[in-house]
Amino acid sequence: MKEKLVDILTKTFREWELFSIRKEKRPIQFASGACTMIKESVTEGFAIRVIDKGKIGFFASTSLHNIPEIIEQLKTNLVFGKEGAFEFTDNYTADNRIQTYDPAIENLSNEKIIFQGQEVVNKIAEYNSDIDINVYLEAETNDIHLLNSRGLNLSEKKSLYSCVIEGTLSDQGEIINVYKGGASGAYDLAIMEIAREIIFVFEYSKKKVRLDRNNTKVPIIFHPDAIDVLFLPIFHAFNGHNMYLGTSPLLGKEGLQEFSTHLTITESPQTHHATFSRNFDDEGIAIREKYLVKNGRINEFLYDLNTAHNMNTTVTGNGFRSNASSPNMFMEPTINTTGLSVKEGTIKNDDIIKNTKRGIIIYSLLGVGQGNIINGNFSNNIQIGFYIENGEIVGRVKDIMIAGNSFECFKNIDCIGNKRFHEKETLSTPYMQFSNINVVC
Amino acid sequence: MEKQAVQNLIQKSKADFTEVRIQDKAYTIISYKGKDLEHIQSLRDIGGIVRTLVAGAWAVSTFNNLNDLEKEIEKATKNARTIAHNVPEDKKVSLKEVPPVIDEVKTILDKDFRIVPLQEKKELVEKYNDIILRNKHIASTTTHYRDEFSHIYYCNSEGTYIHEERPDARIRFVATAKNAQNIQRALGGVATSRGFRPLETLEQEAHETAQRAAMLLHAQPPKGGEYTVILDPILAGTFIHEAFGHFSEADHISENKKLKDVMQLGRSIAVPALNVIDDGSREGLRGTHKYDDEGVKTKKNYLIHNGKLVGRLHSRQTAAKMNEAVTGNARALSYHYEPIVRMTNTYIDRGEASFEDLLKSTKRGIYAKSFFGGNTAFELFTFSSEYAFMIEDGKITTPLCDVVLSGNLFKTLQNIELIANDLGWEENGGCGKMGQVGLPTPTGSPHIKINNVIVGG
Repeated sequence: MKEKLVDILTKTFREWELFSIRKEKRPIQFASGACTMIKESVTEGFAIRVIDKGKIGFFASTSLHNIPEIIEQLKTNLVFGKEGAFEFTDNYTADNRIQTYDPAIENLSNEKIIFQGQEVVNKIAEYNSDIDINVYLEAETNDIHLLNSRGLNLSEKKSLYSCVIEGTLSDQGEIINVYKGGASGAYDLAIMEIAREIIFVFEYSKKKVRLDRNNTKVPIIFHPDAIDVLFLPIFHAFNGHNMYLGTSPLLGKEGLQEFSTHLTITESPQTHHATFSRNFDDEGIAIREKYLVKNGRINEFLYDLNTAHNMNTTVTGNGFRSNASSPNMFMEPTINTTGLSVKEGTIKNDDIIKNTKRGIIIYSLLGVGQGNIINGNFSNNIQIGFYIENGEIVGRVKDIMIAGNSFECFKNIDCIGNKRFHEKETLSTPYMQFSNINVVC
Repeated sequence: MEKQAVQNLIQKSKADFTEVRIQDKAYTIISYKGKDLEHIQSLRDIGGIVRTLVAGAWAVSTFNNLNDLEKEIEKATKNARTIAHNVPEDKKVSLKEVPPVIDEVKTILDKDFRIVPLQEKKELVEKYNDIILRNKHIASTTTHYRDEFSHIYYCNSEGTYIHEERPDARIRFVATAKNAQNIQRALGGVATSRGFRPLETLEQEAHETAQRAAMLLHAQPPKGGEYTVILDPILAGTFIHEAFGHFSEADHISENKKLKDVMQLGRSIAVPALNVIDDGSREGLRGTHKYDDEGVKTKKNYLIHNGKLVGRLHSRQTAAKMNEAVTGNARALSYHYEPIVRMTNTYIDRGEASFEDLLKSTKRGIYAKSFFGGNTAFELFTFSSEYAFMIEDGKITTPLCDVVLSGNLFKTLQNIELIANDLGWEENGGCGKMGQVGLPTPTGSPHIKINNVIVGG
């Protein structure tokens, strides 16, 4: 069927691209400590882009059964399609082959996944049997195939294993809800370590600390679990399409020293078996490591084929259908990052806490993404955060909000820890500390 | 697939309970970013989900090849059996009994978007995009149109067979205004299950969205602290959905004894003037369906009545677990997902005060309007308004941006001082839960006045 489609596409359109995917997912959940549901999902389908007379047509479907209808839809969409004078690529070369697939994930039995979930439940229940525990484990395999009219023929198999653990404890009229997750492209996820971190949070939440309203000028330490609130504006600002639209606050600032010299951010770090590891983007462009920020200086922006063409610049291999780790065939490629990594500082993560006389360490925030991401403003409720006094965590803070601006934060970083967390996930940072964030209580 | 063929395969199933839901969805997307057409797409998504229950354990299987249905039922049955022996007695799943239904639910649209030519749709989206771009402060736009029409076939081993048509269409505006110091966004648009016609007259909405973005360039964030706030119907509806509605979804509490105590029916949870309702049967809204995704008829459910907790939202599983009546709230985003407990159309019922009463009685506070985002973690909630104004001596004064409200649900429900009589609905909202993001969940409310709300700034 696919061969027939390729044949008709070739006869009908000057330039075409056929992206197809088969996605297998096995999510297994423990609700309130018991595995009462097991699930297996298979999604398969394809997306076609065609370019003719400077216009782009797009069609996607789960079904290949009616090829004449597919061709008619493409022709109609092409008539009204968006302008697109770029050409599909015919030249894929990669310096190094990144490992994206671990057969151990695909071969993992449901029984083994259930066993791992049960271990987590037992571990947390052993600590406190009153904690309501939900565990979500998922094994995923993607088979990606990309063909185009210029002879490109690429395929890649990609595996993912992820875990989310949520614990809820109702105690003395208040409810504490703690969740943590992790993911990897290999079967190496330290699930029990995540469970131990959950227990750590519950243990330190036993004591509550009420912050003095008149004395809230304290440094804020972000645990890497909570730091994405600062990076959402970075994702937006380095997206080349926002440069094209004129809505990136970093427009015209390439090469300028905009941030602290301590800050270096790389995109698409060449990590084997990361959740974001891919050898080519969803347009067939080789993925390479890039410096977005180098010692505080703005270095490079991200582009897909169409935006690079419109901006008369070089494509960077950032055209993805939703995201690099698990493409969505129903989406046209648009600019996205694979993974961001912040270069380590020199101080030990633990020493950041030890050196803090009075401060707050944040483990999770509520409402991430609800601020003005474009200009970098954020204002969030601390879901899980602890007060630090004389270098020690003394108890949980509640009913507190923080507010600030990401770009201003990155101009004045107090310190960056020397060890990155979440190395195989889309945002990998060490602890980071800032003093220019408002605390409201 | 033929109805009889599906029924025959289900009857052959060896599971205690088997259900099949097949969805055939066709949709169109048109979007502009700035002056450029960004997407014009046709998509077709056909697939199915099988859910089997064996000895108190569920197994779910989703697939695209409908010819595999028999194999998928067998696989799900085998998988459920695999885990059933590990499910403790007190966790075993059972289902509240409901009468079987055979029904065909057709929809009548005010101009069927399936027969509107692509060119007409494109011109409409382009017209609104141009209106926004005409405002000299606007640097960029996103004007996004999407229509979708689903045929959903639900069939279970108890004899239920429902074919339902589910239409949905929306236009969303994002206007981005920019000056030398600042970038601000405003949101607008309409979402509807009523057809293409309600989308044809949004010129004023587009114009006002651009104006709001421009206004926000000169707005200041509030000084952080505790305020009296008046929420407009959009934000108040969001508050009740985010902060309370999720709390009333029974899957959160059915297995947790302590949470069950916190959410005990009959408890005085709010000021006596507060009435909160979830109604999946209310005509003409995006959260309205005749049946939920377990084939249970939807209805009007009081959650809070005169300040007392009187109900919660159920699937068949949670209703059986808590020995309460079904409410018709088991919903699934698509065939990729099993139904879970979700809200439908959730609203605060109208009170007796006028908006003027709320305003006049506020010496210093914030009038927060429209919704930007929100989140809850059980009793904690946070949500942000798109724009706001200071209230000084009972009058609306300077514009504010970046207003984020936060608090504890139970304290806040007791801090509602006044409820106005001007119930309004917001249909743009899409709710996310357990990976099922974007389910239509309209919210409604009159203006409400709340004391002692933490505002970040």
